[in-house]
Amino acid sequence: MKGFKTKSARIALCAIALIVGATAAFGATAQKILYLPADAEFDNLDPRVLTSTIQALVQFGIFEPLVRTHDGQLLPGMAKTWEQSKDGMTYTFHLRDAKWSDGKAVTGGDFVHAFVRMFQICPASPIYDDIKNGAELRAGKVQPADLGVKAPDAKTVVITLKNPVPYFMGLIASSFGAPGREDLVAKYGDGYGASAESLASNGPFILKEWKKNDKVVLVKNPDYWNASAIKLDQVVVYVLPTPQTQRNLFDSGQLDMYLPRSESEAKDFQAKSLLHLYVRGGIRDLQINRHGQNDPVKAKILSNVNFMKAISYAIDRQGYIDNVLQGAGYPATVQTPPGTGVYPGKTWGQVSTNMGKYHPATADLAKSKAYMDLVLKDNGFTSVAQLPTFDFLTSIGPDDPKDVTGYILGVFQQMGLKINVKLATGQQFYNNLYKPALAWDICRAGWGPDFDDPATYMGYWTTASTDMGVTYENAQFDALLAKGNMETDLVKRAAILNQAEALFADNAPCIPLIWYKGEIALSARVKGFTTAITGLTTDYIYADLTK
Amino acid sequence: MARYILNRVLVAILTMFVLATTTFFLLRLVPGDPMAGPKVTPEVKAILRKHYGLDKPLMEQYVVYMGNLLRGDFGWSMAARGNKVNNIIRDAFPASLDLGVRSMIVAIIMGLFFGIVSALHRGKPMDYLTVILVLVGISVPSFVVAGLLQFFFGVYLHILPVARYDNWKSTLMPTFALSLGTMATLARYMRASMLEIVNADYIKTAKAKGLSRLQIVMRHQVRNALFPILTILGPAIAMVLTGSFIIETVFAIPGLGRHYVTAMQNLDYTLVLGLTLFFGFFLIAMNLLVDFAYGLIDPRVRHTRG
Repeated sequence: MKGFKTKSARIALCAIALIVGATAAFGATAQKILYLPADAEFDNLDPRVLTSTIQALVQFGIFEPLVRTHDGQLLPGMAKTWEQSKDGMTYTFHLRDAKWSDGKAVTGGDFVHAFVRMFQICPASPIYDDIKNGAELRAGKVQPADLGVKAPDAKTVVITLKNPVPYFMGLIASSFGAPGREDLVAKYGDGYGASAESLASNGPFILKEWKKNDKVVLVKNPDYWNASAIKLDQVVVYVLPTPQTQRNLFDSGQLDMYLPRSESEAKDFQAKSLLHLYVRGGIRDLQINRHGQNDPVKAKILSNVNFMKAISYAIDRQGYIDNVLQGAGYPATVQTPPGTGVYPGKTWGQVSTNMGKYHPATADLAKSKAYMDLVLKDNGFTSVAQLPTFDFLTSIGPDDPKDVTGYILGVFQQMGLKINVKLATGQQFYNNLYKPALAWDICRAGWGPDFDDPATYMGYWTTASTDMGVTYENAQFDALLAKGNMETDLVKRAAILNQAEALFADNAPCIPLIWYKGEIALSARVKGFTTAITGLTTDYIYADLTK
Repeated sequence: MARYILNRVLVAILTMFVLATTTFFLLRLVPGDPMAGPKVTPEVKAILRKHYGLDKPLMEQYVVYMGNLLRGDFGWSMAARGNKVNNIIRDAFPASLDLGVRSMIVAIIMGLFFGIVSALHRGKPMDYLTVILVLVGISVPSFVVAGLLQFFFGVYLHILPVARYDNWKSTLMPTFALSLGTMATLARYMRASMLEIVNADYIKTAKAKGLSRLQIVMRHQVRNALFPILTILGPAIAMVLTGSFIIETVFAIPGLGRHYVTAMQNLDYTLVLGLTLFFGFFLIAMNLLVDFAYGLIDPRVRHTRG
């Protein structure tokens, strides 16, 4: 009896040991790995070379700017603390002790180098023209030492602005504002940023493996200043060019995130409680080329503000969203989406007085016809049929059910306009859109915000802007925006921007169409995944996995 | 024979030169600028154009390019910044080659098998079955086949990986999808070719000699029927080995295929040129090999050209 007891006790002990051992081993190997999709290869991850949403997904993981935004909050980054001068023009950042993944210390000089290099080679540098001497450095008029970004010592960065813009902290929280390594740029030359070994990381994750056109593997950075708050051990980003493949991988549990491409897809995920809605930035619009491709007859019609209004009033934004997009959007009646921040506690939707005033949410065909009659009269025509054929430039074909192109072509047809569709994809779209080609009369375009402020939706229309093929070319509008940039009282500034928006909505060569709803499907095991209007729109940095 | 080979090689080199030259100049006729893009200011564009030597006269650019080409240097990609065209091809080709070799083996074995079987059972159910299979193989586009396979075996049955290329199981669906078209073409040609010679004199002689049916089929009919197959095999191998845009994007295989499409969309002069020359080299090399193979297999070619 005693022996049996001992024996069973031994067996029980062994079993417990086995279970404990197995759990320990399992615990040690069960890494938290998040799997994300990317639509295309990253090509280059240097924040000064390429930065779109595709690159940003990795760049925000491996680089840490001076500050970071997360879930609508401004968090410290490489800067532990900072202060702003009274006039709002000078920011002083005090850096924390931090290391690059190759062991070197992160210094103020790394930031100076990054900003100088940005103005010298980065296509997107005009976003940062609020920094003193930025535009001048890009044009080669001043030396790098004259730029308003300086490092008085290894632990301090001082940034001087031209305008006391309130959105500045949001700007430097972008991946463009990540520090860079002059020594690595010199070592790798043209190949810098195109391979894992050429990039050192200072962010929450380290770029461990980069297999071109296949995957990127990020591992947790143990030296990151906030490493204890980072829950994921690894983030694997697969390059998956076809949405259907992403969907199939998501459905079979091999991906943790999927962006639904249609409303019926979104409904599927909603039924499974995997769908998350979020506030998304950006506007889809139509733009009108007042130069009419150097055809004086077309130019006269296209520069007639009533022509713009005739089209705008013929568009049933609400009907299109309800019936075609199945509710996946909001009718845009001005450029800036209502969810855009303008000053603490207020969004643009609560401040703007222009929504629904200059462009309608539902079509008003009688008004459209009245405007068109004015156009005809001004140009000596008696019927719409006499108008010339207009070139409509689009990067998406009318056969795509998720895009507005097909609907807009229907509107043109209903109005009796003769339209020649110019479909151009990839680089060819931009080649047609911009000067010198400007090979279009009406164009399906849009804008994604560079920072969370109405100024990003207006700034690209100023006369000096080269962001689009055409600009507004309205001196009063330019003056209002310049005044807004200098105004430090945020309530007064909002009033100025509201005035600029009213002017723009009334007679700019631009017709707002749709603000999209943000929809994202996440696997059930993902927790703490957030979204943002700009920058890292799908923020996995502080996410966690259950199970 | 040596003179014949030398002759063919010289012609091949000349073809490559003409291909490089025409592609270089044709690309420049495409309207647009590879440096255009959202937010690219004229100043930045000028800097980039200068950096890539696009500000120099076209003839000078051509001479520089051809000089680099002689040293085997395709230059820097203009869209995939920081990547050399040589490296892009070096990184992407192995996956395409691996998939291509697998598909070619499947296509040849299955294609010839179906072709032979249907020719031997001409007019019988086996023949009709093969003809239907061939018809489906040729007429159903590969993106449909790939998508259906992916859904059925990957998502529905869960027996094969949905996509990506990292173990032998994940190679099965793309291999089959890629081989289907070539397999069908080969089967069709093989069948026609077998039937063409079924009444040839030497077959009658073989029958008269009292050879068994198997001997006649294997030694005389199949061997002679293979010549036309060789002709289409050269280009087919070049096509399959250098990657397929659709199969590679659907199954997320990091191969060459997708570069052909994106490079042209991005007006990436150097990458388009590099890929064209790489593919051209393959095509010409395969055709050369087929010509030599003719000489080896067919005594008539050997003697008349010798």
